[in-house]
Amino acid sequence: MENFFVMIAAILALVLLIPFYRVYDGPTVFDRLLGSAAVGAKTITLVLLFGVIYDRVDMFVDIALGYAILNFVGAIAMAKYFKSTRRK
Amino acid sequence: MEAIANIFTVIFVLLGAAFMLVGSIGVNRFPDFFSRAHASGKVDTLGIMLFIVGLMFYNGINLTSLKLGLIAVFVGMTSPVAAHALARRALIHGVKHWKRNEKEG
Amino acid sequence: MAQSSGSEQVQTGFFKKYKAVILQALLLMALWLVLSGHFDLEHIIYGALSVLLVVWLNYRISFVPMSNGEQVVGSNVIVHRMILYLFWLLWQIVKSGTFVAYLTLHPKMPINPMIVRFRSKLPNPLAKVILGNSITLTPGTLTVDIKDDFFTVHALIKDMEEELVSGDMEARVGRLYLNKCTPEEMCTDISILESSLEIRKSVSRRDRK
Repeated sequence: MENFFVMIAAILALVLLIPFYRVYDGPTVFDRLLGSAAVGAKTITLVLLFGVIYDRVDMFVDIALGYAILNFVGAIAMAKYFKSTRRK
Repeated sequence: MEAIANIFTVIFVLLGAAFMLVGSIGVNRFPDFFSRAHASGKVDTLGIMLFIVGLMFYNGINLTSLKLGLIAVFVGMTSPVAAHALARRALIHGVKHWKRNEKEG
Repeated sequence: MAQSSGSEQVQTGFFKKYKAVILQALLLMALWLVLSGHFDLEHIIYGALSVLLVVWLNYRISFVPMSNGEQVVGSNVIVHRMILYLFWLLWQIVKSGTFVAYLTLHPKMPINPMIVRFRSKLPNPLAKVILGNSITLTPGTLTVDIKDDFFTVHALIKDMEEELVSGDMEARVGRLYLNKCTPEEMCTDISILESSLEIRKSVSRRDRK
């Protein structure tokens, strides 16, 4: 079971790199933001997975919850920020 | 009992990881911003929720599983809202949405 | 006998009036218990104090009108229907995730995106928020903007747009608040936005500067 989780963590770390292409390439700034939000959402599961591997899920679950909240607030804050800086 | 829980864990974690992979591909493959928001807001949400359900099976019934469920509910609530906020701002900024050509069908 | 029934009536009146507040306090207390993980008296007292503070702040903030002058009123939600609705929504999440995953992996990618605008007759702002979130979670549709009664929705393919404007989901959300609600009368003034000028006009005026 331990090996299975380590393998999944390796796969997820690779999956995490795919949206980075969108962050790099995105034609508009919103594509970049969407890519970064997708990366953040996958990071939540990666954090939980590390908790399982190190056998400290009870601690890592709080970190994951904090990360989820941070990810959400970051996306909303960015959406609010672009309200005031309109492209001409 | 342990074996059954482990089997469920493997199934759900693999499903979740597969959905997250498809979501990442969708973020790159769809033609315009709004369809990408679809991929990010739905497929990823489903992937994360399945993944967390798998970890809940592995953990058994205790307080930590309850917290894991809380994260799943939280992600299910906030991920569509974040996609909506970004899409709305993009629409106001005048990002064009992709349309299929009539000739192509 | 008459007295007891009278006092009972007062009690039901009290519960009806503050149902939302009591529900909120119970939910927040459950959240505190789950997140703290300690069940001794000290932690529960701290939790009860912070729950009281939050509920009081929320109660006061509910009297502040929104930017368009409307009040946020959502105290009359029907609880058992809400729970059923959440399960239905969970099923919708699974359906929409698999559907969009299928579209992503399809080699030709058979999508035909369009932006649809329609008017909904939901009774209060909270119902609109619930409907917006539900539209985003159901297959192939994404709420882009809500302005007054008008919803602007991005739909991936044509069939989804037809299912959306049938008003089935509005009726489901409406039944959370009203007793009777038919799909036919909920959803009106449907239009498909083609040019970017129309889309520009549809977004909230307040934000366009």
